[in-house]
Amino acid sequence: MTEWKERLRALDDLGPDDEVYRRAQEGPRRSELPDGPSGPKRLAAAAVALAVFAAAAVFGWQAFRPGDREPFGPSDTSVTITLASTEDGPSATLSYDGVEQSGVFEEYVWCTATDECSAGSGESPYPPIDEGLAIPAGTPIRFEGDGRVERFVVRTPEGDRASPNAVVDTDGTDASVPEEPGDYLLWIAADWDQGSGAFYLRVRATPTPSDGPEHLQAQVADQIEVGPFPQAIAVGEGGVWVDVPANAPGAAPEIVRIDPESDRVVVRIPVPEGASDIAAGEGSVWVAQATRTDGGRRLVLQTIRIDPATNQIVSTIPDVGGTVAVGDGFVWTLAAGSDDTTTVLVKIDPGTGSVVSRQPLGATVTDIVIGGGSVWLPTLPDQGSGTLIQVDAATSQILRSLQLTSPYAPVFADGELWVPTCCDDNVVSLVRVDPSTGDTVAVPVEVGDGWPFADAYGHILLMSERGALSALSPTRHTIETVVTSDWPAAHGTVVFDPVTGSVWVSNFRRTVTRIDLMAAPGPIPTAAEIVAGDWPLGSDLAQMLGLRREESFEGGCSYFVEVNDSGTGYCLEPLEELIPARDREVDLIVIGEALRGDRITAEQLERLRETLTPA
Amino acid sequence: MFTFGASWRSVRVRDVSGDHDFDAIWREAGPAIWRAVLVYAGWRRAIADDAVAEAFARAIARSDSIREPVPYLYRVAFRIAADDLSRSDTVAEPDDRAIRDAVEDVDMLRALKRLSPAQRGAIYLHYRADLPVRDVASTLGTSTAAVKVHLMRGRRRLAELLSEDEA
Repeated sequence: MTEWKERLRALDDLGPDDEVYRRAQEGPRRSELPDGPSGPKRLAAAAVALAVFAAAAVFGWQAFRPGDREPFGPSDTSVTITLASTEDGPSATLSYDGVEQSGVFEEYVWCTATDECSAGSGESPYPPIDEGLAIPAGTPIRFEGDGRVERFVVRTPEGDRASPNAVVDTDGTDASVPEEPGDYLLWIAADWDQGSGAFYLRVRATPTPSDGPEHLQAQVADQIEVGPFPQAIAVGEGGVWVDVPANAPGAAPEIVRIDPESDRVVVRIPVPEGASDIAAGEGSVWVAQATRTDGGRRLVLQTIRIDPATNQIVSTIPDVGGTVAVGDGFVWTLAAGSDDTTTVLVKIDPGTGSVVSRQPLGATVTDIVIGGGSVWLPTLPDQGSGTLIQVDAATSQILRSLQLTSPYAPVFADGELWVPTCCDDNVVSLVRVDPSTGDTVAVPVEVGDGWPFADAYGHILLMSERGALSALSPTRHTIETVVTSDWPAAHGTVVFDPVTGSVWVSNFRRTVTRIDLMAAPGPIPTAAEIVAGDWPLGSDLAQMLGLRREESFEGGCSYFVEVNDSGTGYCLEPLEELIPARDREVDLIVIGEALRGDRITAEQLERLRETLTPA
Repeated sequence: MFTFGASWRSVRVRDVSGDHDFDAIWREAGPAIWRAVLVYAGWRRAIADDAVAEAFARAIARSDSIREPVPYLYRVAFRIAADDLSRSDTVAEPDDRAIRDAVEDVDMLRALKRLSPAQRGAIYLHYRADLPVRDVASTLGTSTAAVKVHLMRGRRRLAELLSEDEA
């Protein structure tokens, strides 16, 4: 890159004629700032605020080739346990998605061809296994090899029998990883012609990702004028918080607060040093700042704290800033390293504002993402290479550094990390990473020019500069454009609010755009279907409850459960209350805990059944 | 997105009274702004001249209300140039012989010309004007993510083109 910079320096020989400045002194010649499109584009831009662009393009996945592992997950749909006889005795090996794990002997009796028999118990020729293979709950198990399954028992690590499928048929049919997520021991007793043996294998049943609704739908709900070139944006603590730099004539940099209930700007908070990033959480709004002084020679960092109750700046944390995130009960930001180019991760107690820990990173970090008990830090890519640093959120220690091609801010979704890498033949790819090992899982997924920013309803959301909001389904292997717009400004900083189901976009003109996102109406379960348990655990609760607005109900509905296909039912308000549609009192707890995107649990399902079952 | 890089705020020129000395700004920043727009416009000197002259004219007219004149000048000049470039059917191919005569590294000129305007602009602003990605995005009226893409594509394309020239 240095060579390029040097070659660019050759252009310094060029310069404008003085005539250019002389013309400037004569005054402007054009009537207005060309900050918008002209002609038909301008008409389209004016219309966009009112328009709703429904889902349009759904296309099959083309990113992987036959023979590749699927980009979205393991290619194995079942676990294989091979029971083999060897010269030394029996063996059991579990294999799943290309990984093998040997069983640990519990006991065995093994006889040779000359009927010399040996027995063992509690001694394992295999190294101890601290943690089982992660396998989706409910994955079927099939047995291979020359051994015959005598008994198959699933136990918890404490030794209790786990159910369901604690004991299966002696031939091993119908065996599966337990459906409840957790750690288990699979016990296998098997027979061979030469003898018998008992083993255990350790597995971790992981939640099965919900398919979520098949389609999402979106609506451009509002465009809120905030001032020129809005940049960083955050949601939380009762507001949408937008960084509006000092571009307006005579104005100071401001943090603009939008009330998501009314979509109105409710307060403008001057921040003289500007903002480089915003985060909302832990009872405050955190504004990271980074300014240069002394002619650009000195970098001054600080992070200010705004009380959302009063909209006042209540404190300033010196020497940290640039980027800020809130997660795992702490505020995370950066400090300059010793050479002013590397960064230090700083963990801050949100209650006191004091620094809890400082972790030098040895590289220039561009973003902070919290997920899965870790802090994920992409470094500034250099000539196609880059690093994603994983830091333990509890200890602040670096766990590993992943070498990836130009990684940018990842999205943590359903226990997996999706890292955007840029770019191959003008296409951004998502690399799926197992956060427990740092291993890249499967082949990268090409996603066009969209950048991931959140997960919602079982989909990963992507926003492209040209204003296309897309949803990628990891389980269906599709990417769907849910809303597009013709508004001309670039779409850069974007955030999703899971509470309201809204996407908020700083669109680099004068506005913030609100896009309401929801599950496309699917079949609404009847009460009878819910009671019958046709909706499995892990279903999206909002989807299960029939996410839709029913304006015909007094006061409107956020969720609606139809009873017996009758066209009437219960109007459910998220977080607050369940309104009985007719004369029936209902249990509030089930819905009171439900947010859009929540997965239904066994307890919730049981309560819902109780609620909907006539006394 | 934030990087500990240089910022255009370091080159602002401003006197203590709050009024801006545009003669000084022209001397200090004008050529750099003009060069950046010239690169962005694909060596269309007329576009660069018009855009920079108009940007300075507006800045002078609104001097009292502009806090940061240099970023303002960059943004306005680029937007005017973008507007002119968008009417590409009315813009003749540039006669860049004079520019080629003035610059030794003609291969670099040719290579840059074959990039898209956004790639050219991003490359020049980031690697020569030393603006951080965020400021490049603001200048080009786009997002930081888009700038990263432009930089990546532009670097790759430049490498290809320059190696072709050397071969």
